[in-house]
Amino acid sequence: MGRYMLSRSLRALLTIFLVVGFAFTILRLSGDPAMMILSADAPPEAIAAFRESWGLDAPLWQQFWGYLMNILQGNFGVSMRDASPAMGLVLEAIPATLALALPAFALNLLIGIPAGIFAALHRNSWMDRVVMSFSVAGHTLPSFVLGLLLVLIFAVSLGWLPSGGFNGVEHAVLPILTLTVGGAAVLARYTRSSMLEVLGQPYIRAASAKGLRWSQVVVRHALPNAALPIVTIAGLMFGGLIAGAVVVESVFSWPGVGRLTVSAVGNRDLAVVQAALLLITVSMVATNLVVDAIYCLFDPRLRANSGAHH
Amino acid sequence: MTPLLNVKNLQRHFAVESKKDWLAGKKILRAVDGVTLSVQRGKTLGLVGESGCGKSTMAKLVLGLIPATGGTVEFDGKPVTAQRNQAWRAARRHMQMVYQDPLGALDRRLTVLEQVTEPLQIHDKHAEIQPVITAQSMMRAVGLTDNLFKRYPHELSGGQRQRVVLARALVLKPSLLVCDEPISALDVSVQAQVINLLDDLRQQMNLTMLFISHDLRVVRHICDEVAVMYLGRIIEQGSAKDVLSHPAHPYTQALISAVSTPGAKNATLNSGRIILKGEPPNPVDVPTGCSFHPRCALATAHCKTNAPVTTQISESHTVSCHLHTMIHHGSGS
Repeated sequence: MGRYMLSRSLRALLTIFLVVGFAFTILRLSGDPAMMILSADAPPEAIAAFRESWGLDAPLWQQFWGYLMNILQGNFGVSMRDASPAMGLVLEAIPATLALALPAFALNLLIGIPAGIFAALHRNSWMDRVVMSFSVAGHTLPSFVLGLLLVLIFAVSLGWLPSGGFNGVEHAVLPILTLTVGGAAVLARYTRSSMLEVLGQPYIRAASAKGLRWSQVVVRHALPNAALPIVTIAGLMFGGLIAGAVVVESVFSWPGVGRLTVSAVGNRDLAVVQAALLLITVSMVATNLVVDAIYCLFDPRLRANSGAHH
Repeated sequence: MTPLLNVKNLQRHFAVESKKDWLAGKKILRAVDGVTLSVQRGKTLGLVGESGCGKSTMAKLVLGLIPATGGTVEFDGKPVTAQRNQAWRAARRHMQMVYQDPLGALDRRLTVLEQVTEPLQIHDKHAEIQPVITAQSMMRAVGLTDNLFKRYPHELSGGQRQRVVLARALVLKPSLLVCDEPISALDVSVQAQVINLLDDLRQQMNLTMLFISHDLRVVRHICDEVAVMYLGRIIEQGSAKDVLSHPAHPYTQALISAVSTPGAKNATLNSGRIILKGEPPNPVDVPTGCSFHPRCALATAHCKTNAPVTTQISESHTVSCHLHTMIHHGSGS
């Protein structure tokens, strides 16, 4: 297991490096921050001075080298808008993002997985059809439509909940609900198909033919074997939620990482975008590492590949 | 003596939807269509036939893993149903199965010892001897060494896996063992070992076996009786010696002639070899009359329209073929 996780970690570092390099290059090629920050009709001298002071006139590779060196020293640059530390801005937005992500993720798991198992165990019955209809509806509905729909119903018509903002639990309900519907729907689908595949395996019939109670067959043999793809999807989902739900945070004016990133991109605030992307990448990669570690728990074949060493 | 396993007019039909023409509605596939057979305690019955003739469906029906469309299965004088209740589960300890694909039949997440122990944990909750100890001695009995006990299925060879499956089936000391093509997934070099092991255990544990196979050499080696299945029906049945040495049905004759014999000068040029024409017919559209007539070299006009009845041709040998009915009628009149 040690060697497996080591190779995964090295790959993770490479991934982070590639993402950082890619983001750095694209950001600089896709538009001039000086134009955005100073406005397009600013005098050429002012633009030149701006470019010089932020080091934007140097060759790209020099800029990148300097950026990497700074990162390694813990210096993530400052916002071009107000010169506040870029990473500080991003870190400030994290609690708000987590306040949506953690409950939404928990609800996704608590609703999606049982619903998928239930549908698989009642395959092709009307109950399966009902669950799967909700699932298809849930994950085809774009989150901005669903978000607006929920606002329309619960905020505008019924007036039960606020339509946006960040002032306590009642403000979080609608965004969390929006994130939950899509996530639980996806998980339910994957859980169902994964369970169906496992339930068709000979060892499930064998377990049943041994005289094991059906509920025990499901708990002991079917679920653990069906868990792998579910863990994969749940991991990706968690990484996505941590990265900030860009659309949902924008719809509900929620001051999280997603909304910060969107506005920083709009402003060509390079340092902030880079800091946000770095953080998002690291959290995505970290989630994947955790997923890999969980794989080892569920699949002895992975454990064995590395177990041969000790 | 009442047989341990008694199957009467067993039928299992599946509704299948036509893929080409969904308006045509559902058709009926007669996987098992009126099978009658019995196995005496301690005896082994070989069920042979080509792929798709309904052998594996028979295995599941006999064990009550799937419900029958018609007919009855009696085990030890009691009817076997597919109702999964307390009684059904309790009956599992007396009737076990060995599967065709040992890797598929094992849970890849559990060590093989855990898997052999599991049946004991289900059925022998109050045993004096610890389940693990019993499981270990059963695993040794099937020829697994102690260093393999804590391994996972993927870490074993095909033969070792099938030994695990065998140990798992036998650890409860069942009286009936159904083997569904137990060696067809194994290397030829390992097949003989597993067959010999099965033969030894059968004698030691006084097992009754339903042995499903398409390998006639193995059947000859291990079985007391043989039933030949074609398109869901038993077309010939009798003692292994009678059926395999003096096959009466043209289909059985073709099967036997297809077995290559070591020592024969050139098996493919064997003058007695009967080559069957064409594929086995689709069990959804079973031919009229004798279902074998389209492939039978000896078929007459009579065979195309009339289904043969089962005829006794010696004390322990029956066959369903017009050729024999006619011979017997001819000699009788």
